[in-house]
Amino acid sequence: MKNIFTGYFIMVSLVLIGNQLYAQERLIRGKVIASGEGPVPGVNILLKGTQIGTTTDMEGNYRLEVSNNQNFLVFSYIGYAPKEVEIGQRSIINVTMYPDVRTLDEIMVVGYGTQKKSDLTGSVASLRSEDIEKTPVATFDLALQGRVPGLQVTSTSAEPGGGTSIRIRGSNSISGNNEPLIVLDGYPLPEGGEASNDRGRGQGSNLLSFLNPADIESVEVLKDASATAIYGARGANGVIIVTTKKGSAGDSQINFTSEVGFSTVPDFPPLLTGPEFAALRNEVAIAGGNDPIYDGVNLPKPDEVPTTKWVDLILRNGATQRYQLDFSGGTDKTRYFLSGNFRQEKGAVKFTNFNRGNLRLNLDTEVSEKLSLSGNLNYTRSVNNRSQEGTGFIIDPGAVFNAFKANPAAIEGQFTQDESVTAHFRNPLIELTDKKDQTNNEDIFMNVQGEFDLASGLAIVLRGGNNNKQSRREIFWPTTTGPGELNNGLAVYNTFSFNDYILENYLSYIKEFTGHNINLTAGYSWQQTILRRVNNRVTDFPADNLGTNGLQLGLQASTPVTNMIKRALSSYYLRTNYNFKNKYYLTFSGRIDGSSVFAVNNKWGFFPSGAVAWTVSQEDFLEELPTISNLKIRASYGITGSQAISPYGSLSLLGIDNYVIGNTQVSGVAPSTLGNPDLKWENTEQIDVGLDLGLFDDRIYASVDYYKKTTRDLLQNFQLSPSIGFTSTINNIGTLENKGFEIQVGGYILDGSTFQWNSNLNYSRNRSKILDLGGSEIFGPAPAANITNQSANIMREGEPFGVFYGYRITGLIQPSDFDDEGNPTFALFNGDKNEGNWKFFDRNEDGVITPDDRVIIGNPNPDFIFGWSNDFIYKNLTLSVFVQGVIGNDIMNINNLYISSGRIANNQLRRWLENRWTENNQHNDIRYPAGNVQQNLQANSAVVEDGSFVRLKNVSLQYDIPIKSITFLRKAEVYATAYNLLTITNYSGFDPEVGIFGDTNLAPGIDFASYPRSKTFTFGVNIGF
Amino acid sequence: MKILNFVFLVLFSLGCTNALEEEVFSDLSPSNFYKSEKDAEAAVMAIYNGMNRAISYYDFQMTSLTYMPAPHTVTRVPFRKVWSEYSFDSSEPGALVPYWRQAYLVINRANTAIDRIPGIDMDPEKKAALIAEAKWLRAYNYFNLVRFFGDIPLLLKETTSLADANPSRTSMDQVYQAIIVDLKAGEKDLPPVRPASEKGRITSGAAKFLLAKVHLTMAGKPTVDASKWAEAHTLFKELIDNKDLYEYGLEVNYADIFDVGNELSQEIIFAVQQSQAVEGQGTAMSFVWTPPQSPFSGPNGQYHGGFTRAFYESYEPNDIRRDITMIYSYTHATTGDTIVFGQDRPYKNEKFGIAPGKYKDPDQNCCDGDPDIIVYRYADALLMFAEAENELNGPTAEAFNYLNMVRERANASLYDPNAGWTKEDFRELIYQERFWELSFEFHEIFDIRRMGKVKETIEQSPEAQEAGTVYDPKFELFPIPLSEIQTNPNIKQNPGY
Repeated sequence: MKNIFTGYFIMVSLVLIGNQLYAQERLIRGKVIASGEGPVPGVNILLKGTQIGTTTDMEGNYRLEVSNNQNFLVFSYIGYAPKEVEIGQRSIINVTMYPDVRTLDEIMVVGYGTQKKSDLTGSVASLRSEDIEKTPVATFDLALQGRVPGLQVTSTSAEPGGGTSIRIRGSNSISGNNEPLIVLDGYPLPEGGEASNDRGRGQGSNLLSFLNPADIESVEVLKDASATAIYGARGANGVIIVTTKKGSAGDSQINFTSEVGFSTVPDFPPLLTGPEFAALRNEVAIAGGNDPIYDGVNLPKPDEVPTTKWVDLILRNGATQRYQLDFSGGTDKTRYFLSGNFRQEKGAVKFTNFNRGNLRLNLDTEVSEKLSLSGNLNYTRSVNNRSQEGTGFIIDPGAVFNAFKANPAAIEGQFTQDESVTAHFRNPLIELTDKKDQTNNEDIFMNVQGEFDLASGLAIVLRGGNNNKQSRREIFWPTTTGPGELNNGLAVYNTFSFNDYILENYLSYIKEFTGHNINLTAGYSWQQTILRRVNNRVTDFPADNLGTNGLQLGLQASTPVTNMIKRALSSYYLRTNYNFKNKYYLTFSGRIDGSSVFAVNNKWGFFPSGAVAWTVSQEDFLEELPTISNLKIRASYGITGSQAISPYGSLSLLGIDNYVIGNTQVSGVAPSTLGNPDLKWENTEQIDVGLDLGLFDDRIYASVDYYKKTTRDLLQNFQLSPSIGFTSTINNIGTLENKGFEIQVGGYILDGSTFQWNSNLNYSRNRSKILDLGGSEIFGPAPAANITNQSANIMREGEPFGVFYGYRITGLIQPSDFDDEGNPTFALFNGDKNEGNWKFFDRNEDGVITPDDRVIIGNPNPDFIFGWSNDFIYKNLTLSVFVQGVIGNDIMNINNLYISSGRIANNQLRRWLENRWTENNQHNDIRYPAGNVQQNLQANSAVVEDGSFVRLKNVSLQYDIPIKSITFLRKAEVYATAYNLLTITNYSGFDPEVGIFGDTNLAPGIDFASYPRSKTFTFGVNIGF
Repeated sequence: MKILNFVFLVLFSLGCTNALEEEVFSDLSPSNFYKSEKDAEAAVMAIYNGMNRAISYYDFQMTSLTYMPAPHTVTRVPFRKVWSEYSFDSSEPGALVPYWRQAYLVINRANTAIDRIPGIDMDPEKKAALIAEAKWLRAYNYFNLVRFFGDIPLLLKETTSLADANPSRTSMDQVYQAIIVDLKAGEKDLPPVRPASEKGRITSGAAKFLLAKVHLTMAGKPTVDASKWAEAHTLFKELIDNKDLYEYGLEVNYADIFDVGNELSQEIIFAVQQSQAVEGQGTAMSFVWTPPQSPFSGPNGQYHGGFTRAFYESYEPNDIRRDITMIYSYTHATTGDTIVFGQDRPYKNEKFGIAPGKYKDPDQNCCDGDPDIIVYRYADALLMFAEAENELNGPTAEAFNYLNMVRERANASLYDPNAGWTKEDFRELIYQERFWELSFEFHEIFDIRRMGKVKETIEQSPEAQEAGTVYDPKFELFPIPLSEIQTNPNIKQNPGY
């Protein structure tokens, strides 16, 4: 390419030289500054349309003689956007050049190929390694938080290795997966998994943790149907394309990064002291007509009991360390990138940690002029010790809820102190210290790609890949812990593995003729996954010594459960890009997917899309307006799918239904599910209209997108007539909608030679609405077994996705709420008429509070989210400040049902005690009731809070050490980063970024003893040789 | 270009639709089952499983539907009271909705076995017997459904597709015809007795018994087909005459019938098998019904209700059945005190009734009870034969002979056949005797209805009276459950509901 252009310029200049001979000449001079680097030597300066020019000297200065009839100078410098400047009458022309990264010639990775940014017709956002590396996180999804409009990444657990929920333009499915498809170096990753927890509850870990963020070169986020339709039945939730680093030709480079960090113990509102709690217990006992519990006989008097701060006891300062060593380089023909990484993170809760090591080799080579090969090989191993938050069990919750609820008058180190008062007292610290809960994961990723030029402009690409994961979870509760005591030792040994492979090939064809540009990609792909699970549970151990290494010691073993699933996807895909003179663009793309999980009568789905774009700034009438360097209008429409059908979900299956003869079990087998051979994928129709704008040579840029997505054929359980022997089957019923807009504005605000400030602000707003559920309603899971056992979320026609559902509290019961005979004038809930307790809204006005009185009490979906990133560069110092915000969402703080409600079976918040309703402190603040009956501790409006927050997410200061005198060093840089430094919120819990049931669509926005989030400070050094 | 063709060929051939067919590994499916004799056995055993504790077929559902609506029943728990009060509606969640679902689940399991077993390569005699066994279980469930609900959907094929999702109601006559066809197969293809390894499974005697009972029922209300008396009479006669072949007979001691150590005695025609030894194969019957702190179900009896004092007093004092049928007094499990009904806590409240006593399992823990669910027994055959004899020939000596056989064992006084009884008198004697002999054995509501006693029952039931329930012809049938009405547009509700 380069040669062609050079030749072209020579030809053109030869023609033009003639004109020049007649022109009058004068001298122009100036200085060229590169944004972020200062004055630069070696910048090429040409008179537009000629071969006459010069280059800048060591100080960035230049001089050039020009003739009067020449009007434009063209500045060019490798890595920076070329710049065209009008000369006019000026004789001094100073110029600032901007890095190439933001230019329109930036190459974007899209499905099955790359495209110039200026040629995009769809909605695609991208992030470079520099942005990712600034964030000290274990998984790259967290580095995307707030960085991309339309993308909401929620860290559902702050535990090391904890999970996230990623949503691109809202949630499309109720029963299916809403996570976007992740494509790693062209390989669409299979829906992953990990070894199960005991009883299947508790928070999942982050399935992207096998990927080291420091190995990533770029991340592209495909949002609209035009961009994602090429991924067909997996495109509806958007696609995130991750490309890892490659070597580049030249000297070998060695990079070493060493980083250490610590995190603070998070703040938590104070709980009651031992004496306060004991006094409260006595007060309640006496009020109930009983003897005081802390009576100085069986138990000490309240002022004699100690205070154990259980929350403080289980928390600690976390710590992280990270070491990364990579080698890269190569020749013109062969390039390599080899990296090794070790990361260790100790969480804020004691005994929780995440350790990971990985090795990566990326290689690409040109075998011949026609054939090039590339390959990626990655091996990752991680060990994760977890504390099991989010189980939803009251007796065996995770460490955090154990600490919240534990009796502060109990003494540290004691196991069953105060058992007479609180049955099943669990010492929160012992539950942590003595329990083992370890997940070991190994992940191997291999990907090989060959590209062969068949003819001019026509190439075929072949790819084969394999991804293999082995996951093992070992849990052991010795007899010193609660579950261990109940079962006389309890061991769980679960494994999970998947083996996925892909084979695909595609043709690409590029042709240009007289202004017409055609780019065509068409191919075929086959991908198959086999998943296996084994679950073992053994109890009754005569000794605790061997734990999960000696299951055979246990006297009682549940029947092991094994499960194997195979799924396959066979696909044809096509994309055609056409443009005329880089002004008018037309794209058609689509995919035909055949999936094993699709029902027999609907094995193949077709997912088409189309897009048009008009680069207005290329038109002559805008050439006159040099202020506008780029103006493009885009529109796209398409249909994508989601494979929400679970494997075998459409088949009729048989179940085990045994019988007994005498005392002998006899085998019985009968139909368990009625298949639905007509079951279809959920399909999402999306329309997107967008505008890209660049001003002042793209010094200021902006993008606006409006979209509307409609998802039809939602999969849900469909009630059948019981007389046919089945009560339900899965069917396609229902529609939901997401619409919203996204704005991104950025610019190089200050660009002096010593100080620069770059800033980028993005804003996204999404509104979801459930349009049709076939008349039914879908309820979320109960937040806590046994007590808060009614759903806290609902999917209801006409409402947003997953809104909070429960009882509306109208106030506290006051003495004035009783008539002259002493009868209550309000509806009773479980007969509770104690003054100061909650009063409930009687929706159906039947005089009694029942589940029928539940209403919608909050919305977990934010009004908008935003991210604001800033880079301040002063000489060798770079300060990056990143602010993130989520505004207008509600959180259901289930914690408060237990620790701020007067439920004295567990400890309470001090602020509840200080503010609670008493005869002497009568008020109507529903946050501080007198003390409710346990049956009334259901999801209600008193525990729904505003969850808006603005977070100073990341502040990073980086200093490039001047090393010109040290010849063997290429670069040396030190940096310090503060993560989650400051959060502005009205939320009363630990932290407003929650999702205790993060992995289920049906229960967003619930906080129930979430793992506490800390502030993290890291210090690192990066040396290049 | 040749290379290209080759590559596409190789890759495209992988993508043929066959490769997308789902292969099932960890589940059984119709594609990998119903291949062997073992599979055929398992298909039939699963039908029995459908009447097991896991879905409370008997301990919750059948007791509410058959026992609670009797004139002699009172209760402690509200979800049972709707049945004794006759205040239930079509959404009643404790018994009505689940029973309908469960009976049809059993029927679909039977249909599946009946449809699938013929395709299995196995011994033809065993094959016929297994099919006949499935048909008996299907007939038994249809027989219950038709008596509870009248016209009902009659499904005789396995449900395999959503196209079958909304069946219509079939007339009672046609349902009875299908039941008769099924039972005749059983009479023919089943063995008269079972070896120990199959003890408790259906026999040809059970088929003959049920066939006879079906005919007797058809002779009564609401079908009122008088021609059926003769058929019932003949069938019962054959059964009684061949009792040695079937190894049937009356237990000498009434108490032994319900003794957990004497299960599957000669008295038993069909009992659902229960065992504490195997997880998930026990019953909650005694746990649900025995009094609190009594020694009959751990100490944890839930005491859902029981019999009226009037019923207790209706027995002759010497009738040994009274204190087997009811727990009038017991020894407190922890204090050792004697607890007498109506006198001592926690058994003091007369309104809650005298707890049923036919299910007792001292070492039971909630739902793992050992006692088999006795569905049919030989004494019932004798009483029904006496009834058919009376309807055909009047209160003959033979009719009294069979009635007195049952009374004699109970140590009750014997009726004098020559005391000038009319046919109607004898019918009343049978109605009474059936309560005394068979109460709490899932017969009450069926006898009440076929003998035209619904109005009388409501007038006699203390709880129906307290609730102010007035007889309405709708009470001759239960409402079709709302779960069916809401999902199936082809089903119309029974009149009055």
